[in-house]
Amino acid sequence: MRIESRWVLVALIGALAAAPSRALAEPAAGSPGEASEPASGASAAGAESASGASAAASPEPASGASPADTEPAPRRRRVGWYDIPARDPRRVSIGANLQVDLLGLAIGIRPEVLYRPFRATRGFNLRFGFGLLPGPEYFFLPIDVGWRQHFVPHHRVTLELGAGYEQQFFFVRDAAAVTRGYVFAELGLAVRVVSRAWIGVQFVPGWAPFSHPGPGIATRLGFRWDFGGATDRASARRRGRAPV
Amino acid sequence: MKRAILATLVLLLGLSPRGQAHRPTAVEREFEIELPEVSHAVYGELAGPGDVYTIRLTFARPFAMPIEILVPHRRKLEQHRPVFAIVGPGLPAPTPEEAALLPRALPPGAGVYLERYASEERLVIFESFSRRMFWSSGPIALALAPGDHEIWVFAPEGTPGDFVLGFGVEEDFTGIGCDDFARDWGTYAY
Repeated sequence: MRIESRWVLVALIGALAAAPSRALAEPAAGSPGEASEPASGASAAGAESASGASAAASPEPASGASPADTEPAPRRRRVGWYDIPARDPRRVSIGANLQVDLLGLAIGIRPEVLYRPFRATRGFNLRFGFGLLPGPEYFFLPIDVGWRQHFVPHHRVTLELGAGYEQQFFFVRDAAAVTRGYVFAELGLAVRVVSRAWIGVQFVPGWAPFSHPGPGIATRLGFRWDFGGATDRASARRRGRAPV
Repeated sequence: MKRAILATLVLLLGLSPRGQAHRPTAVEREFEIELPEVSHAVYGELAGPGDVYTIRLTFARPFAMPIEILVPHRRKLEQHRPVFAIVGPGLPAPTPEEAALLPRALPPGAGVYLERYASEERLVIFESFSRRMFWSSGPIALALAPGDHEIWVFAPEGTPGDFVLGFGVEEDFTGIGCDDFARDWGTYAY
């Protein structure tokens, strides 16, 4: 059967247009568990599973029951990115990496913040970071913004792929700082060691395309802590709850 | 998607300004440069008093050669000020003060240009391809006559330490394999 692409497009647009209004309308007509937006992923999962459980445990309606009692329990719904406030900590991960620059020696720490702007349970992250890397010839301060994708983030081992822009500063005592723009890629592997904590290694090649052109190569050994997201999704699934 | 990535890479490379990259060469105490017109970065390490690097060059025609000596910008090398002397035909005879500084006697018929590198303030440069910071003597250009020349690199104070001698004009990296570069990676990168 051949499906014309325009109908697929129309269906997608329709689904996207309908989704927010449905999400707003549901709490008013829904069960007590969904009457208010849950404060955390676990509570959201609990609330939804509780509503589902009560529906499953409810006996057949008696003949004299009121219409409200006979009304079937609302279907469980997936919580989308629009259900979680932009400032919800479940969208955030923090990390600290030990970085070694192999071209132009510098060793130091690179803190980073990851923010999931779309679905908090998925692997698309915006990355903001900086570094404090002393070296024998200069003090290296990079400030970067970029994208990082965690593939299969709910599994124990994830592949990390990223890219971004970095503004690099090289400080010396007896001259003005040198600064240059730099683009980089990230290729890494991370392992979940406990529920929300990860350790990983990354290989980070790059190139300065503008002033002071030149390559760069760095490696990182990192730690990351998720405040929610895919880890909660995985644990919710293990407990038989709704994925949040 | 692939086209977008390819276009981005092409754009980035196209936007890159043309950098001045030297042909990296880790040299022995006595070394002959086969293509003196090519831009070279000669890496060496002086062991202490009396240590001299000798680099031989032969020019078939007159050549205006830019040259500078660099020292890695490290605290332990703050007092390390190696100098270079270009010895060859057509160069002036040394003054008595210069002759006293030279590590050896000049060959017959040769003159010398001695870069004293004695200014109090040291020029700092950022070498972007190796991402390193150096003190520099400041680039100069010397008009050299055809014939055999030698560059002597030594430290008048007898201080030990690394140096990089940059000279030449044309960029040419033919003959440098990845194995050569990898073997001397530690010298170039650190």
